Amino acid sequence: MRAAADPPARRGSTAKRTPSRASTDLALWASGWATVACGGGLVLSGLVGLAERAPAAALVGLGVGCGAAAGFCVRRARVPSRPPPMAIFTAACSAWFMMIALSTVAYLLTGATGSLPDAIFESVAGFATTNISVLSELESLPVAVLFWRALTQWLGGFAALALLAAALPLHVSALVLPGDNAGLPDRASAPPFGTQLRRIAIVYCIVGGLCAAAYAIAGMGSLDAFGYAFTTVSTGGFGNHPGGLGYFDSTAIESVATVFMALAGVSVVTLWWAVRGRWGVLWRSFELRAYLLVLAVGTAVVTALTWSDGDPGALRRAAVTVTAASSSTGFEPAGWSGWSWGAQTLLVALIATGGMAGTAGGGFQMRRAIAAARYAYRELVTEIHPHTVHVVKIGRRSVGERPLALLNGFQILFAVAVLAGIFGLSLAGMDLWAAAGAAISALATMGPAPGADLGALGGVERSVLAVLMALGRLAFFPLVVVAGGAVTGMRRLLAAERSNGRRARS
Amino acid sequence: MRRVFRAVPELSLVPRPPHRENLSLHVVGLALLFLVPGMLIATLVEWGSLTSDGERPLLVAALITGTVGMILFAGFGPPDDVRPSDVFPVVVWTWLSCSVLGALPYVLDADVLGWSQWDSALFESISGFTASGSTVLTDIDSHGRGLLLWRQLTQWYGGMGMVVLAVSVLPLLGVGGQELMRAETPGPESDRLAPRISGTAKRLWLVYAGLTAAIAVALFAVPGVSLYDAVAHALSAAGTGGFSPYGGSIGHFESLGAELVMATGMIAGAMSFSLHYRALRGDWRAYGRARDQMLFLKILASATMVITLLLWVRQGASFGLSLRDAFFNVVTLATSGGFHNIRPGGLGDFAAWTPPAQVVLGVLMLIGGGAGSTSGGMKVFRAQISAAHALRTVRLARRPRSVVPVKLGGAVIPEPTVGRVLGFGTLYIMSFGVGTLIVASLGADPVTAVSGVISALSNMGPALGEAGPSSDFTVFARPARLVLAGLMIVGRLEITAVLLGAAVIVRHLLRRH
Repeated sequence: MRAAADPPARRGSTAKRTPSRASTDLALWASGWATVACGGGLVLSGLVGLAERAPAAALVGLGVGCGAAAGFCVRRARVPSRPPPMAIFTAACSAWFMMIALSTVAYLLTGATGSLPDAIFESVAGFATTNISVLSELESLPVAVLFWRALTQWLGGFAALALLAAALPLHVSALVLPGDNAGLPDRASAPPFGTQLRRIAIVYCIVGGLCAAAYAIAGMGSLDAFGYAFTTVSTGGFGNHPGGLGYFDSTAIESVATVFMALAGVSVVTLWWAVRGRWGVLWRSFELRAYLLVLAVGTAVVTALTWSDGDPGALRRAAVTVTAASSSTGFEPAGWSGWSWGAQTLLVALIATGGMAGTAGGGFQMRRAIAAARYAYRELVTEIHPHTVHVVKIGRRSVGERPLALLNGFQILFAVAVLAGIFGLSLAGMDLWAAAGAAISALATMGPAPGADLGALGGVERSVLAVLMALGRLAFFPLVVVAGGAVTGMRRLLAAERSNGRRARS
Repeated sequence: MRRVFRAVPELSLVPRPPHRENLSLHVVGLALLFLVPGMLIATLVEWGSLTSDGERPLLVAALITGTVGMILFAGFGPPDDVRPSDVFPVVVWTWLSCSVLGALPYVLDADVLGWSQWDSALFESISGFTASGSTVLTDIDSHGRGLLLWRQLTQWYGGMGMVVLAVSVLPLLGVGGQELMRAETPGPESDRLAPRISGTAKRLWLVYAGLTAAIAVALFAVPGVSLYDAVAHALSAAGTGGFSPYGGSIGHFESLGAELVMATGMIAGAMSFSLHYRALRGDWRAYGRARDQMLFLKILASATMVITLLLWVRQGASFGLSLRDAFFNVVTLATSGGFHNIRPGGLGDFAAWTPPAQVVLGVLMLIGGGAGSTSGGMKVFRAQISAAHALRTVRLARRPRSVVPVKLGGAVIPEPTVGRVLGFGTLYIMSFGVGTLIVASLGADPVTAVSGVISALSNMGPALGEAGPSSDFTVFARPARLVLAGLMIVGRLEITAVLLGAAVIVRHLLRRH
């Protein structure tokens, strides 16, 4: 991770440090920053609550305490200059789980959820930017909790983008960031992590601010405008009111949501160049054109399939729903479970495909889909011309063999996770279509699915969905690699114990 | 660089008549000629059955097929040079022609389907030749014995493949013949059993015919099964087809013995025929060495155990009954057979099983049987390579500079093979996605659409949801059936051959105009 690379360079040499020590240091550093961010968020939520004269002192206290402690640790942390991939993955997972732990404590402290499993699930869904909630009576919750709930998705989205940038040199995210000249960049061509993070933050905040302003102009109250902007830009989908966007019953608000959901599905790289005034990049991006085409065709087809209802609002409803599905923003569209089978199937397919790479959204993502299709085409051509050298390209840029190998691995892991998720959910009692929709939607960090009633979830269903959300949010590799590393470590420990025991006996 | 395969016309002892060079039409003609004996046998059975008078449509179909076949075979000959790109159109044309002319007995008999239902006839024919077993015929038992035998025979022809049959008697194709076989045989590579490729094809067909005969004899030994029933079911069991002359399929016999014989036959049909040949030559250990085939058996055993438990615990059936129905249906779905054993007091209707059991069945349909067999699906070999590749990428993500080969049983799989398998996986997912969207848009509910498409691509037969074993494919709209029929051919020829064949055909047409 270049990320950790730059600021930490002054904090001493890492030449003599072992890989496991590097992992621990980086994990502490990342978790520390995550805690600082969460602490700031908690304080902000508390202050919002206090401004509305609602009880929120506990949140402020928790935020200040955690933030201060973590800030102190971060100042002291010694971060390796060139951390190994395992260290990056461990840091990503530990930071993510640290945020969930803090959020869980916050929910329990404020009494928003009655039990620990509820608090954990709500936190996982929040930081996974997925709209599956166990909170049923949103209207009765304190303002500070609602604000914090929306903020978890905002922070989760930013953490996902930070992870993409951090894991960039490892090719696991199939992402192009500024400064890249040759398709998927390597260490040499990617800008430093700090620079990337700054650019991501700028884009993220600008789009978020514009979204909040647009919501406010469209008629939302200031609290709602910020809350919904947080969850729109992060492709989360949590709302302060039940019934998704349908609660407002406003064309203006739905139009704003459609535009910003579509923007949230556009790569931060592309948005960065747009912010810098390089509009030509927008047109040259093959992935962006494909994404917009999918949105347009999806909206047209869903409109055609639901037109028979004779509803004049069919186009508007189709646009909101298709954009929500494609960008994996989980605002639950009203009445989509009653749509024709073709429309429902198309929506699930759109959820699985997802938006562009380099966004806070989930799913398979457009970039991977294009690369996979090109790869399949190359293999077809190789059948006829076995000795041909055929480079896979996205737009004008070539994709290396290693990213392609990782892409194929991702594809297989994605399919296996979907099948395992469907099996788990059906075992818990869901019917096949509901299980398939819920599994795909959770893995794509969308949340709701047509035909699936996620209102009252049992323990097994929650566990399966939580695992799927975590896998989808962390894009498989960090979680799988860390889990694999943990299993290998445990095995080694056991083997060492056994050999020690043998030695002692002898 | 283009590979050019040169045939050796000098070796031909028979002087060849002057003809126009066209490999596709030559092979199509030969494949059609091979269909004629099948149609004539069906005519004779119909004539001898005395229960109906449907022999005339069968005879007319035989005459038309024979005439077309003779004209094409004699009028066109193989070219001297066979390029790799030439073989794919051959396979596509052969399958299309056989499917169209194989549908003649259904349309010529107004009591069966008639001309007004030409699409249903084509569906039935394609479902037969691709050894799928999905049907749109209602009230099957009421049709003539001869026509139903022809329906079984289509599955037998398609099981091993008409192109392989043609190659077995075409001595002059040289290396092109091997490419032709590779394009049609399920699995990543075709095995060589003899120095000449026609010899390999002949041996495969002999083993196939032997297996069919063995199943027929074993089935005939079961009480309550007539000779006609034994032969008819053996034809579709060896080809892992799934058609039955009875609407009740194997459940018609209500016999455990018949189920066991059919299950064994389907397992044999879903394992590599090259291995069967080697075993017949005394090398029984060949089975043990083929890890994918052994894994296939392990998958069958594990899935049977899981589903038995699910049926026993969740549906409250007795353990014995759960085991019996779980085993038969796991075998019929994993081998892409497609028979069913719905009977009074049984659990044969797997579309009504508890949802997790249906998920397991869906996965079995996807994976399919062993390479080089008559089964459909992705094949166990590909699933193994995909899993090994996924594990490799996890290691690559952890150690970016490492070089990790894909290994199966200690042997390193060459990268081009891994690439082909991964490309096939992507094409499979794309075909599945596009097919499902179209079929669902045409009115099928998602479970029926998804399972119907997987069933078609895997050449399975019945699906889940409304198109389960107790129902048929008439639940799909007529255009959706044509899409499913197309997917059956795509699945049978493992996508690549169809796409490349279509691409080459279109390119030729564009060049001409």
